[in-house]
Amino acid sequence: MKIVIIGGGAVGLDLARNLSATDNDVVLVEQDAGVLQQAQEVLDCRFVAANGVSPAALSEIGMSDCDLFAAVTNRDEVNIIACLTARKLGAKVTTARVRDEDYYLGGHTVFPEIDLAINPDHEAAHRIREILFRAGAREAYLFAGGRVLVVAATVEPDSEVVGKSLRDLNTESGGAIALVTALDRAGQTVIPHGDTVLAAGDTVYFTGTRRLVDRSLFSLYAQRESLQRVMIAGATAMGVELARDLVAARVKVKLVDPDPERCRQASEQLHHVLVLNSDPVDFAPLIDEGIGEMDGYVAVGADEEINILCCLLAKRHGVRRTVCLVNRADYVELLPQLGIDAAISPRKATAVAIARFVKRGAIVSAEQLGFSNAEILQYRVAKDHLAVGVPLAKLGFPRGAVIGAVIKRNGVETPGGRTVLKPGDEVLVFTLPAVLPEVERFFTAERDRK
Amino acid sequence: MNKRAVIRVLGFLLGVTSLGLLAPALVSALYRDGDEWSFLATAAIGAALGGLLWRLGSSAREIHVREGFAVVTLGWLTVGLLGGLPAWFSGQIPCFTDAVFESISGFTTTGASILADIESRSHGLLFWRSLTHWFGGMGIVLLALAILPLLGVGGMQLFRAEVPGPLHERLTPRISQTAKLLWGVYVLLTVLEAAALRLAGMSLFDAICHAFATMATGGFSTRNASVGAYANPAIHWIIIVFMFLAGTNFTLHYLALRGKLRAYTRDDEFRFYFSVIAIAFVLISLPLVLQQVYPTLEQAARHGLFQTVSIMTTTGFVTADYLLWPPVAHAVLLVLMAVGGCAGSTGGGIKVVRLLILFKAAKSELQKLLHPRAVTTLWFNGRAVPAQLATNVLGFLLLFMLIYIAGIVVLTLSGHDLLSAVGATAATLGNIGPGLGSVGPVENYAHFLGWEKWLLMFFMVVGRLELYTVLVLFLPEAWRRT
Repeated sequence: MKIVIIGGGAVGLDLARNLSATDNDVVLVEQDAGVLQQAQEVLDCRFVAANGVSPAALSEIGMSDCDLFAAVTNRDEVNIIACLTARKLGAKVTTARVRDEDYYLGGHTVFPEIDLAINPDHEAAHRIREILFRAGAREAYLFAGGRVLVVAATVEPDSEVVGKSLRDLNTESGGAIALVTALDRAGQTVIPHGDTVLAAGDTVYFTGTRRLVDRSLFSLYAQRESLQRVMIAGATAMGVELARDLVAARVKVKLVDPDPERCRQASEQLHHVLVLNSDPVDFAPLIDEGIGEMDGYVAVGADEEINILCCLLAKRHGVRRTVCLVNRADYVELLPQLGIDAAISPRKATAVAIARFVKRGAIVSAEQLGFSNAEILQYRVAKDHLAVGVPLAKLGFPRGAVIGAVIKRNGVETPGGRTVLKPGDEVLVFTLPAVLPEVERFFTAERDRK
Repeated sequence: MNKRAVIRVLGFLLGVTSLGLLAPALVSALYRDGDEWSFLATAAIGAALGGLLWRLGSSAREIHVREGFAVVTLGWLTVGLLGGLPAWFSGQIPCFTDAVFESISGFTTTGASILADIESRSHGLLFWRSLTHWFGGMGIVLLALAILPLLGVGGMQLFRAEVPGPLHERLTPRISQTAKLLWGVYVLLTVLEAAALRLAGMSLFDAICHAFATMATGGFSTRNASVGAYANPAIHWIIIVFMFLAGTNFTLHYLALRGKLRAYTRDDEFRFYFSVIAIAFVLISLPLVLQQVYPTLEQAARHGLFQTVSIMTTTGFVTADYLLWPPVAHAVLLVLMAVGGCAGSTGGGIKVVRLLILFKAAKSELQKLLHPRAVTTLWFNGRAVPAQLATNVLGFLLLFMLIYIAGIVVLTLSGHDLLSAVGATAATLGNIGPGLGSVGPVENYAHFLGWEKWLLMFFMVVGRLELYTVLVLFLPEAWRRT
């Protein structure tokens, strides 16, 4: 498969690394020769020093046999024009990274030529918001425009659910509980079944509507989050988006950034947010700003070490919940031991989303669960698919994978053995890496048979 | 500065005014006043002078910042002078200074008069007084822009220099189109008011004159006792409503006519304007009720509201002598005189939006005391306001206060009592008309000395053109060649 990536920034390099690890021919296009030089040493792909919107340069790279074209520079206009040009020259699938609210229309742009628009900052901000609003939540994923939520939470040793099987939990609540669609135990991700017994320290993934997920979390923690004050360190695109999100939910937000210019820009975009020009590591002024009374603290600065440090300091000053932006996997593993409640890695998420989109088929979106290799895939059921009209129990769905939610046009259903899929429905599939090919075959095979 | 381009536009403005003078000539002829010759003579002078200037000047296709300021200021002065001639020629106002005072007071929509007995003047003159209001309300230059696409570029310069308010919004890509739309709304509201007043029992002549004076927030009446001469409460209420509309940003009216009624409630300035009037109404009417100044509650409310809206919108109509009211009314009205109407309205004064921006700036300064590291932005109508604007507004307020204080000092030096000096300065600088003390609602400006009248005329023009447009011409570099 031939993949062309425009932009050698952090997102582009991550994407190139991910995609070139499997059997793909990756071409990385970047204007800055210095950046290319560095990339050449660590990546196994072809490098072209050129302007990614230049039709001449794109023709030379060859668009007619390009299976995926991904424009991920940090400039929206460049990405959009690059995609339009590539499509014109014959690229099969195009994706653009789009950050401006004006251009980004939830996975799309106004151009039908762009198959997928991604906005990592936006998505990450929404996730952080969902985590902050839920006691005990460690990860959160949104699907179908936020209609379906997947939230990860850890089972505390003193929780009353310890020792109960999932089936018991379900009967106790009278079915009014979200499905547990994946479970992390001692670093191992499994797809649970009815007889799986919960143990202290397990991380469970609840899937369902907001109401169901909230009810399930309540059964786990017996407490509701009351989020009133949040401090955000880093007036980055993500920080600003998160602040906007939280203010819309009537949370009082203070946004801290050391750069005066970024502060000014943020304050011109955010009404009702107190923007402070201060070094987030220097806590003396932040104590004056009442950091101890914050319900949540989120560090989304550009430097991940500083983010971790900020969260630790915030925790020390008595902040209840801390969320940290970290991109390096080895740091993420440290966070629970350090007492940081949740980690967000938008770059990884972007790479996964684009990589899954390669196997175009009927995939709507894709996410990776935390830093395990288990994935959530959102498929649209094709008209002639073999699953149409057959109860799920009789489908022979691959073991090691499970359908977590069925998204209908007018609502979300919790799947059971008797659930029947219709064409146009979307299903959320949780799958372990080992059965990924099987799942893919399941959702694409029938198309070939016809 | 391209002086010849300025001269040409001035010639054009004189020509337009001459056309306007034909209307009172017609009215005079209809009512057989016998003074139509004075208007025709003035029109002839204006046309001749205008033609001469037009020939002397050079192409006005390019008007830049400096020319814009000069055109608007000089335009207002020449048109003001021309407008005073008919009354002087016909001998109805024998003193030249007085005649010009009346004309400039008309064009600047001030409504300050030197006439003690208005009713004895000819219909033609009374109509001309109201018409000067109506021309001046939306702006003579803007009218010229609307009628003729005289200028290629630079229309925005004139628009900015003449239309009140710190922020200027274009409704359409072309400035002449925007001017037409605003004038269209203006004409429509004027017609509606005239019709309503006629239905309420006013004579057609009075209805038209009062509609002109209301929509321009002017204040010249055809009666000695102003609107108080009409006993019908319906007339008072109609004028209250239209004064309120005239003090609102006309852009909002335009949007409302296009079906976007929520434009009013969404506008920060309109909400503030409404609240200020509501609070002032309570502060003024409550003592009237408690001290039983009027026999009925309706009368206390009506007279209280009429005076509040009239002074706040800088119209200057009166239905009662507020100087006889409790002192709190004087204090509140004095504050309202300075506030004025909304930006983009025909009202004068500092403008509601400027005060709103200053309040917001003050609040953010207070906030900075509590949060020393806070980076704040001013928000207006859901948008971030450029930081420079607050400085601009602050500078405006400072200049306004300086001129205000200078006026008070000069007038008291000349022997007027403090209340009259304060009233006269506030009423002319704010384009209101009636002030306090010896220039109160039942008094007039006849007793001022000649040079004092010219000073007050200067205040009227400075106030109408919002200080900067006029004052910038006192800088030598404004006149240098570029």
